[in-house]
Amino acid sequence: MSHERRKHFHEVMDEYFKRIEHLIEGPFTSGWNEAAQSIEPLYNISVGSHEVILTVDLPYVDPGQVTIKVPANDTIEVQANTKRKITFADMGVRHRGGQFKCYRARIHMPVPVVESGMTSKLKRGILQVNLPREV
Amino acid sequence: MADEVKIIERGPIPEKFTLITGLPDVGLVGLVAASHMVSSLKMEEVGSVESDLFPPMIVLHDGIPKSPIRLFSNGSLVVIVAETAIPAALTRSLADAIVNWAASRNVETVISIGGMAVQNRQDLDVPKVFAALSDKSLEKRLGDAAEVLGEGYIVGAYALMLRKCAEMKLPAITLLTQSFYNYPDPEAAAAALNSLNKILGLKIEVSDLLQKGEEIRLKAKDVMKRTQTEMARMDKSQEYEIPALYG
Repeated sequence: MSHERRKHFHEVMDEYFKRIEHLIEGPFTSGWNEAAQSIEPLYNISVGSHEVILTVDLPYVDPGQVTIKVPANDTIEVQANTKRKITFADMGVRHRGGQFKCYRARIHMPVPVVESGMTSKLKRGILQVNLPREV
Repeated sequence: MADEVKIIERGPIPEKFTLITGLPDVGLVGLVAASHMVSSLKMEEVGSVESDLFPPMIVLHDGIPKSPIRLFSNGSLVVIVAETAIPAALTRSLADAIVNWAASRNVETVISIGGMAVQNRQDLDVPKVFAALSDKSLEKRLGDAAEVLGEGYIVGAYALMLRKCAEMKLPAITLLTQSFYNYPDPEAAAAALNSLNKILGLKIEVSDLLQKGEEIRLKAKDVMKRTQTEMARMDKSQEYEIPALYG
């Protein structure tokens, strides 16, 4: 029970800090990081009884250039290079500069996970990572 | 409440027409499909959906300011496309406004295009299209274009539109294609358009849509993110629950 309470508090704090970051960064929080030339991808987390399934939408990704790290039992980092540089001009937006060559996401897991036993696959430009839940 | 949202006509509306709605929803299936339809059929802009309660925004296309929710027409078709997330609080007003306007303008059929999230979407080569109907008599018209949805919940603007159409005896079909929940899904949009082609006898080519799949997914990322927030607010996840009553 105490474990559940701790996670709940952690999630509340995580949300709080995200809001603070949003206030500080103002308009530059849409997920297009021009300085780092990276895009924050869309992702989804599904929690099962034995595992957590993380999917990440990675259009234009180079399948051989995807890195997944588990720096802590509640955090997954995904970095994936794109097949080519992507510019705002490619998407019809001319008033913004910047080019993007990778996706980066640091994703908070809602329950603890373990790296050993982790599997992943990339299909239809979507990365799926299966992570066993920590017992 | 219905007056909170208004349809403003700025061009000729056909005397009799089929109304297609492409609102942002699961997988942005409707938005992507309707946008492709507008460009493929070279439809003309004929109006917009306005409300003082919408976020104070415009969208620029070719340097011209536009409403983010617009009406397009060609022949006997009128398409409503929203290229911004619809605030959950305005869902009912929007649904009422669209159906009331359509009824007042002598619409023949209302067809809404949306997505139906499935967990194994990654493994589906061709997503299946389902249809919720305002009246059983539409099954014949549907033919093999989609499988009739017998039981289940639908949440959001399309749900309210379908119910209102049923109450008003207005023929309505809601096409729901298997799709990703919170990733733009051009393949599902293509499947929905193939189904629409069968129902209306159209010849909308979808190969271009499939070829541009990655570009569409990236361009639609931000709208998808905002739509996801609104879907959470309206408890969209209830669509995956089983209705309790039977018979």
